[in-house]
This record gives sequence, structure tokens and C-alpha cells, in this order.
Amino acid sequence: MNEQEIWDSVTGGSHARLWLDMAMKRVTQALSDTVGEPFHHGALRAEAVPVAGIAERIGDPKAKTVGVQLQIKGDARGQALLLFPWESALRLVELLMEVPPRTTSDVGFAERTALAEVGNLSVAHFLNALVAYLAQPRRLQPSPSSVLVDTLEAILRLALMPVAIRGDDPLVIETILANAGGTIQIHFLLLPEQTGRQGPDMAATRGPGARAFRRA
Amino acid sequence: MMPKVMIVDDSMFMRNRLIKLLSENGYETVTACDGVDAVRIYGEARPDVVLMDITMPRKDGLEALAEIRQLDPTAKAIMLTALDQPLLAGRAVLIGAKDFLTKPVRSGRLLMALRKVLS
Repeated sequence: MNEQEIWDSVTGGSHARLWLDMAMKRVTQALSDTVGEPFHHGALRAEAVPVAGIAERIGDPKAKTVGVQLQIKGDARGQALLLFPWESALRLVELLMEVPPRTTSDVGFAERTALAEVGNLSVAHFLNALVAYLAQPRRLQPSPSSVLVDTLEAILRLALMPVAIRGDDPLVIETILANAGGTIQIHFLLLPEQTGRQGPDMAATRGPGARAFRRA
Repeated sequence: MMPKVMIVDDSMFMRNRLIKLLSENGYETVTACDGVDAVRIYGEARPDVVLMDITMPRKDGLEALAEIRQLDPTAKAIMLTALDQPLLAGRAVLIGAKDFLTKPVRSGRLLMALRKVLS
């Protein structure tokens, strides 16, 4: 199984919806255990999206945002990006660092390392689920996290530059992770490296009729 | 004398969490923030056990553990990583890791693993 087949098997196979849901359950469980309160995931999508359209799907392109970016390496490559709206990042940091609510107003070094760890845990658990799903000996690892604080469009411009240069519509696996009160929302994006032609199922997800996986 | 644990993790957030937990439970701690520092600090501090992350800049935890075990074949280490994958766990055991724990780990599970390795 080559790199392209690994990604195709989890985005276009007959069990793709089930697998993605299971993978995100592992991510939310890890997040809940780390933060100390329950998280859930929203609608799951796996579709090819024009780079220019990604920011508007997520929110206000000018909104202040924290991004945690990780490269995926090993038997398949790609990148993962977690996007935290500014207020969500502050509330999450307060929970992680066990400080009173609404007392954090900026993201310094200590806060960045807490958010970086959330990125590391979330992406690692997603990749663990992928390795388990493949049922073959495979190794998939995230790189150390990079934390970016800027507007949503600036973060996406930087993160998606390699994809934009190639001119592809990248395959994006996307969902929202949120806590019970909805005060913390995290956009989870995973962009597999497209090394070959797109599989037939993936091609079918392009455009307005694209498949959206909804959580049961 | 308190057992000395070396915490190797590139995340200051994780290091601080572990320092708090271990110091509250009777352990002395030293820290390293990547695999390169881990090898150097191991030689200086000679901890009783190493808690080793895998994903780190400059040198990952598996490479660092292999070097530490070359320096000291009796070195005891527990891998503490979010990566729960059989190939990585198998490689860690081959290098000499005594246990392989997945983050986020429950405090009781980590303390039990430390007691077992140190016993």
C-alpha cells in the first residue's frame, strides 16, 4: 500500500465515514482527558476544496486566530492544522493551565506550549486511529507543533502556501471540536499530501455535491 | 533518598504538569526539552528513570533513548507519548524501554509504572 492508497483508503473507501467518526472520537476523548471536561465533534467532511474558499468556510477571514500546524511524516505525508478562534484559545488555555476563567487576555510562551500540546495530542490520536484502521504495520507521526497567532486568512495563507503553489484543490478532512458549553471551538483540518492521481471516490466529492459526513 | 526522574518533553506545559505530579509524590525531577539535551543531561544527572516523549525537535525520543542506552546499558526508561502505534512501541522495547504509556495518561497509571520500573 503506497502513500496515496493510504489516504484514499480512509477518505474514499466504503468504511470511510465509520472510520472518520471513530478517529474523531479518539481525538475528542484525548482532548477531554487532557482538558478535564467533555468535548465532542461536529459534522465531518472529507472533500476537495479550493484553497481560496477555505477561510470563508471556517469563519471571518479577518478574525484573530491561533493556528497550530503540524507536518505528518512516516508512511504517508500531509499536514494538520488546528484553528482556534481567539476567545476559544483563551478559554482553552485557562482550563489547561488551571487559572480562573476570563483572566487570560494574551497568548505568551507558556500559553503557546499548552496549545501546541493540544495540537500534538489531537493529531497523534487521529494518526493512531489511521494506523489501527489500516491493519498493516505502518508508522505515522506528527512533527513538533508550530503555533501561529494572526488573522485567520494570514494563518491559512502561510499554512496552505505549498498547496496553493501546486494549484491543487486539496483534499481536506474537516470538523469542529467543541466543549459542552460551546465556549471552545477548534477547527481541525487535515490535508493529505496528494502524490498521485485522485481516487474515484475522492473525485466525486469535488464541488457543491461534495460528500459531507455528519455525526450520528 | 528520593528517586530521580528525568522528564524529556519539548512541551513546557507537559514538563510542568509532570514536575508537579512527581514532586507531590516524592520524586526528584530533572528535565530536558529535546533528545539532544536528554543525552547530555542524562550523563550529568544520572537519573534513576527517564520519562521520554517521542516527537521532539532536533532528536526524537527513540534516537535519544538508543544513545542513552549506549552510554549506560542499565538506563531505565518509560516512553510517554501520544503515539500509540505498534511499530513505534516495538522499536521502543527493542531499544530497551521498560514501558510504553500513551498521553494523556492518568496520574495513577504513570505512578504505578514508575514504581514498577524502580522496584
